[in-house]
Order: sequence, then C-alpha cells, then structure tokens
Amino acid sequence: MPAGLVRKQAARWPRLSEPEMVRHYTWLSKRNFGIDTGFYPLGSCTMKHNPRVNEVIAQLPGIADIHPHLPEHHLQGLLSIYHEMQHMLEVCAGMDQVTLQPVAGAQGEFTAVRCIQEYFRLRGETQRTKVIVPDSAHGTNPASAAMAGFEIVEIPSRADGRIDLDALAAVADETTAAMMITNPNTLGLFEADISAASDIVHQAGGQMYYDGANFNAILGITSPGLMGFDAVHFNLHKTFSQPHGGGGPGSGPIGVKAHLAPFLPGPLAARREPTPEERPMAVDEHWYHWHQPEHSIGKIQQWHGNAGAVIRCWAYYRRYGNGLTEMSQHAVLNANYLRHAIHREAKVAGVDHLFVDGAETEVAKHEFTLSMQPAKDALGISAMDVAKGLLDRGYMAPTVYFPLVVPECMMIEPTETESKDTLDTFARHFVEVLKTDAETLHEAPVTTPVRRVDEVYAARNLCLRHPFDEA
Amino acid sequence: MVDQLPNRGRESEMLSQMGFSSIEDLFADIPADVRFKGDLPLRGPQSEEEIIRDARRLLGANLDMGSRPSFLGAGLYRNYVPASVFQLVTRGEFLTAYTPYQPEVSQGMLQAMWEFQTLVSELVGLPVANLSLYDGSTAAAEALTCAVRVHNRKASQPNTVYVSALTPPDKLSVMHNYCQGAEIDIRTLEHNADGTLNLDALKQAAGSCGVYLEQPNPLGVLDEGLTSVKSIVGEHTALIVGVQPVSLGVVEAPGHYGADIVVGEGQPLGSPVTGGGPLYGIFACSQPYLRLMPGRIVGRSIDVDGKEAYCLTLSTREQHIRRHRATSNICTNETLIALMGAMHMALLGPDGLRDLAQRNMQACQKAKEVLSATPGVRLVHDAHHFNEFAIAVDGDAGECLAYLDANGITGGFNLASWYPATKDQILVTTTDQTSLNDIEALAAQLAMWTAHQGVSA
Repeated sequence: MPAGLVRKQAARWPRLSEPEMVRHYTWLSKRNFGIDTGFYPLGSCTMKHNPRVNEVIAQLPGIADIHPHLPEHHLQGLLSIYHEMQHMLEVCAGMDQVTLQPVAGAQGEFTAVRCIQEYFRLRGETQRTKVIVPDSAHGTNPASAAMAGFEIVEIPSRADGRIDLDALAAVADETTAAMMITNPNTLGLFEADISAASDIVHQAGGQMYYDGANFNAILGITSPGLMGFDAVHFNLHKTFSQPHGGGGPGSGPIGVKAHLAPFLPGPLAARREPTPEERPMAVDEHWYHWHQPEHSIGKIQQWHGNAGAVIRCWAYYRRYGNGLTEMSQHAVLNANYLRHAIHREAKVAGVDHLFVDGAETEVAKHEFTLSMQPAKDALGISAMDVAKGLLDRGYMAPTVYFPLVVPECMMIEPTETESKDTLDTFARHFVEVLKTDAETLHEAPVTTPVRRVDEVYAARNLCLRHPFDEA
Repeated sequence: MVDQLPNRGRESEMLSQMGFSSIEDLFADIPADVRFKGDLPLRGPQSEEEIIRDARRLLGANLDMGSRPSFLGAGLYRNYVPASVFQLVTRGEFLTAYTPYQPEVSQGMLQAMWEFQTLVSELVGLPVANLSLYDGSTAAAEALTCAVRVHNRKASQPNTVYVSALTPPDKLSVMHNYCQGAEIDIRTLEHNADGTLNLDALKQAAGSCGVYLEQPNPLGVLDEGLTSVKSIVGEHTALIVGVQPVSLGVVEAPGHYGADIVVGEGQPLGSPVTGGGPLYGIFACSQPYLRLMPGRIVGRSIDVDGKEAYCLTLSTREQHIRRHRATSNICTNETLIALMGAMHMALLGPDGLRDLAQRNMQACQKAKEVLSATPGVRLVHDAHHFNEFAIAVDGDAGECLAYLDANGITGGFNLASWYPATKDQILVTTTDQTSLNDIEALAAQLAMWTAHQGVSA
C-alpha cells in the first residue's frame, strides 16, 4: 500500500454480534408497515400482495450468483427469461419491442424520451424541443423530460382530471416532441378521448408516451398500442408484484413501436436457430443472444437492468399467463366495490355529506379519489386527519393531496389481492374515522410507534447522520 | 393450488351490491375500438410448483460463479454476505413496504436508512449521504450533473466536466445520457503507463465544474496521486471519487483527501452480484452540495410529544414537489438493497471491514505473485492493486478466455471490450471468495495456454 493511501481513522461504525444485529433489525421491522402487515390502499402505488414464490426463485444461485459479463452460452436461462418477458410485455402493451434495461419507472420515462429525442435528431427535426405534460401528471414525467433536455409545456386538465383536447390542440405544433400521459388518469378514470388526443399529437408530428403507472387497470382489456401510443413504460414493481422494498428496487421496462426500436438501450434478448455445437447447451429449440439496436442511445444503467426484479416478475407472470386479464378485472372490481361500500356505509351512518367523489363518474378503474373538502369546511377535518385516523385503525393511509386538481384529495387503490371482507371492514372504519370529533382526530395517530412527526423541525434542524460530536 | 385472488367466486355478489350485473359493466367506459379482442395470445397459467420447476431448469442453465473458479469482476465483486442479512431482509415489514410517506408507521425503515446514511458517511469521510441511487454508474452520472449545478456560475470552464479515460464505456455511456440534456461537455483525463493519473494533464481540468476519478481505478490500481487532485483543480471544481466500498477498510476515505462527492457501486457490501441488478449506488457529499444533490434523504426529528422520530426531508429538491426543476427524476430507488448493505456493515464493524479489505488485498497479492511467475503471463501495471489487476497473455485475450472457459475456469474480463486497442489483456479479479486453489488452477491453465500458443506459433 502506498503510505499516503493508508486509512488513518477507521469508520466509526458499531460492531454488532449476530444476535444483537438480528434483534435490532427485527425491532426496526416491527416499527414498519408493509402489505404483509395490513391493508395498504396507497393510490397510484399498486400495493398488491407479493407472492413468496418470487422470493424463493430470486435466491437461486442461477440468478443471485451470475455475472452479467458471462458469455452467452453461460446465460441461456437468463436470456430466455428476458426474451419471454420482453415478448409478454410487448403483447400486453401492443408495442413492437421492449427493453428490460431501465431499473425504475422514472428511468423508463427518461429512457423513452431520450429515444424519442434521438429519433427526431436522426430525422433532422431538431426543432422538436418541447414535451407536453398534463398538470395532473406524476412529477417524474416533467422531471424526466427536463433531464433529457426538453422544455416542459404543462396543459391544464378538466375538472374531472381528464384531458382538455382544446388545450392540447392549442399547444401541439412543429416544436412538439412528445406528450406524456397516463390512462386511466391520476383520478382513476379512463380517458375516452385518448384516440383523439393521439391524433392531435400525431398530426403535429409528435410522439405519444404512455406512463404505465396505472397499468393494473387495463392488462388484457386495452393496451397503449391500441390507444395510439408510440412508447410506454411499465412499473414491474407495481403491476407485476416486484416487492417495493420500502422504496425500491423497482424495474421500469419500456416498450416502443418499430420506428423507435433502433434507439433503445441495449442489450436486448434475441433468439435464432442454434448451431449444431450450440444445440446441447440450449434451453429450448432456440439459441438466445444479446442484441444491440442500431442507433441505440447507449446505456442508462451499467449492466442489464434489474435482473433480479425481472425474474420475480417472470414468476408472477407465469402464475397468471393469459389470465392476466382476470387480475385487472379484479383490481377494477375491488376499487369500484370499495368506492360503493364507502358511500353506502357513510349514508347509513349519516356522514355522507362530509366528502364527495373527486370526479363524477359511473365507474372508476383500479383506483378512485375522494375529496374531503366538505369535512374540512364543516368540521375542520382535513384529508391528512382522516389519513392519520386510519393509521390508528391499523391501515396504511391512502395517498393524500394528489392529484392536486382534487381539493383535500384521498386517492384509494385497493388492488385485486384484498378480500371483500377486508374492503367491507375498511369502509366501516373509514366512516368511523369521519364520525370522530375533530379534536380527537387532530391528535391522531396515538397507537403508532411515534405520533405526528414534525417535518418542519426536521428541515430546520437538519440531522442527517448520527451526531458523533455530541455523543 | 395457491390462489392469488381472494374474491374469485364472489364477483356476482360484489357486482350486484353495486347494481351491476357483469364485470363488463365496469369497463363500459373503454371505447370498443381500443379493446383487445379475445384472450391475450400468451401461454396458460402455471401452478407454483410448476413455476419453481421451470425456474430451476432455466436458471440452472446459467453458470453460477460459485460453481467453479471465477476471476470475473470488473465492477461487481463477490464478497461473502452473512446469512442473517438474507433472512432479515425478507421480513415482510421491510420487503412489502412502500416509500415511507407516512412516517408514523414507517419508523423502522426510516431509522434503518438514517443509520445507512451514517454508515456511508463515516465510510467515505463526508458529512452527508443519501439513501441510495440505482447503481454505481447512475450515481457517478448524477454526481456530474450535481457538480455542474453547484459550480457552473463560478466555473471558468462552464458546463464542462472531466472523467478518467479509463472509465468503462458502459459507465461513460450512462454519463453521456444523463449529461446531454444539460449540454454538459464530458472530456477525458489521460493516465500514465503505470496506470496512475497523469497529474500534468490534470491541470487542464482546473476551472471546470467537476472531475470524476476512481479509487481503485477500473484496472484495480490504487493511485496515491488522487490525494493531490483537489489542490490542482481548486476549490471551484468538484472532486468526485468513485470507490469500491470494501477497499475503504484499508484505503484512505476520499473525504479525507479533498473529495467533494463520493459515489460507488454499493453491491460488494451486502448484496450478491445478481446478474448486475438490483444493486445500490452510493452517493455522499460535503455540505455545499446538500441542497442540490439527488435522491431521498432521511432526517431525525421529533413527534408532537417531543419523542425522537425520523422522516424524509429536503423533499423540495425532488420531482414530486419541484417537478421539472427537480435535482433528479429519481423516485423509486434501491432502499431494500441499501438495507442489506447497512446490515452487512453493522455486522462487520470497523475491524471486520478492515479484515475483509485485507482478505481481498491478500487474494489479489497472491494472484499477482503466482501469475507473474506463470510462463507467458505479464502484469501490465507495476502498481498497488485492490481486487483486480490487468495481465497480458500470449495471443488473443478473447481466445485465451474461451480456452480457460472450456477448461472449467472463468478467467476474467477481456479488456478489449473496454479498450478496443488492447488485444491481449485480461482483467483478473479476486475477492475474499478466491482460494489459493483457484489461483493455482488459473495459473496452471494459463501456462497450458502459453505452451499451446508456442506450439501453434
């Protein structure tokens, strides 16, 4: 070792024996809430049950202990699973080519807008510098497009969160590179005008990008391809049950129509006839190999994406196969059932005047929104108060204050893996919370490991690591 | 058969309570012209046991590195990860939680990530760490854009950063993708013949927004010259150092020799290689970078009773608040893998980390000794190494690796994939999992290869 590089002061880490470490993290885990703990109706996050078979498979040495730079003949199993997953996602999305490289939804968005950017550069349409995003979009949409260097054009949504075609037509022009939109939208409503929106953007020469955050509502029922989109990302950690892990890892594959395929980040899994020498090593009648698209944007992560997450989602897909449609049907069934149950229970209890639907509609898709504005006006009970009251009753709170177009918004997504009994009980508890007097509710939660946490204090008295100096 | 849908068989009952007669009624709002016709053209469903059988067969066709001597690393390293890490990380309260938006019921993960930030901060010698980015390459790329945000106003070379010419092309490609939107010019810094950074050439980087270098560098070389980089480039140029975190058990923390940002592939601490993902990217920085850094950060706070409590903080940097003006688009990160890292670090402690780093170094030293005495094998750099080192062989490196592979050894990484001009160089990687038997087997096969080359030449 060069003398000047020898570490002089060791990291001030604790030294825990295994029994101490196991007890510490078990204690921490008991202070954390997951889907396994209870109902997790966090809108837009698709918190479905994570089948345990996925975890068993992901621990096998044939995935846990493989290196991405191994030669292809040592990765035939991985390549075949990648190929199968690409194909399945292509079918579900109505796209021509999928890449499994992006490791999160936001990275999928970034990757897709980069591909669109290079597509236009190669065509000489460098004046297409703008991306249109509805004001109700997830924050990652504008952030991803801006990171790629696009100017963001935000258009207002209608009161029900649906797309305003006039507003879109007014901004779509020869400077438009793409429009980014999710369908069902962030209020859980299907955009019946989606084909018209696609037409407007396409006539202006732009590309349509589908944010797959809400894919759980439409698998096998409709597809971005059928709706006229050119590119799409999946959140495998939402739709295909990769566990969220308290914030990650995820997996954010993208699918594109043929004209964008040459720009995808590689490598992609491809297949051909095996040679006689390859045949004994083949896993089926094909030989699988990596493929670099001709005009690839290059890498967006150093290796081959989150292979471990792809494997888990492959196991999930195999469980359903062509029955994925039933999964989405049940997701929508449960969301609508819960919406009705909450309204029904509220009417019985006489508290139905305390909230309204986020938007008027006959049916919702996989999620729905409620506005707590009436409760706020009448009793001073906010969406946050209701959320904290639900924590006291053993639930994870729904998403609150998003989308912004709904005042005092609660966004509720039950997913298909909750039983009718759970939904009925939740509806009753929701109503009980609304019957609680405001004073008591302002104090909630009282049964959780800590009570309301002071986020302003955290920001003003930044303590981002153990303060050794004071210890 | 394990059923994943609790309400299968109760559809009619639920629909009738809503006044509907068919599931189709719930999809009446989707126009017919955008509907799928018929079933999805996909295979039929499988039972759990069938899936496991297929998974064993397919994944069994992959070569797991533990099954034979392996010297393939080049950015990913197999260190032993204790069994308790795998047991604990599958606890459902961690595994099946979302990002901790409701801190009252997420104290476990929040505290674990605050502890992770502390562990990383101490490891690299900088006061601030976030709770993970995707991997080492995206962490390095985000560090470059962060450096430009911080220094662009005062830089004499605005929108310009310099990176080591040895940076692997895949990582460089990630950097280009992340930097091109902000029109950042990425220039390269040359190295000397012994693998160390050319400090004369470095002078051109003074006044740029940032310099990215690795310690050990991509060829495993430990470079003492990095300790003088900050004094050469000056206070208005960020020194960004990419690290292999295990090395910091013996190698000086970059924060102690002037690094402003330290990034790295966290994987060697806590995680298997897993085909290259999921991994976790380390990102730590000094105070001036704090408010322009990417990623989520946990702060310690109090609850309404004044009790210690944790929550996400500095969120105004992030996409869900700042939208297109956010410091990064990152939302989902690699929390669970970072948690594995924290668990491994907690079990190691400072002495355990030093021991692990020394075992890595000893394996590397032993391999260098044995291979340098092997006929036809030459060490490319006369230098100090960590984990890995480049060798030159007789003939073509790719053919040599294929020969080793056919003889039961994963011989290393063909450096022609990174540096097309080199035809005969292999990056040989060792870790604490490399045995003397493995090294001797590699040497014996390389000697055979050399002899074979002599005969055919």
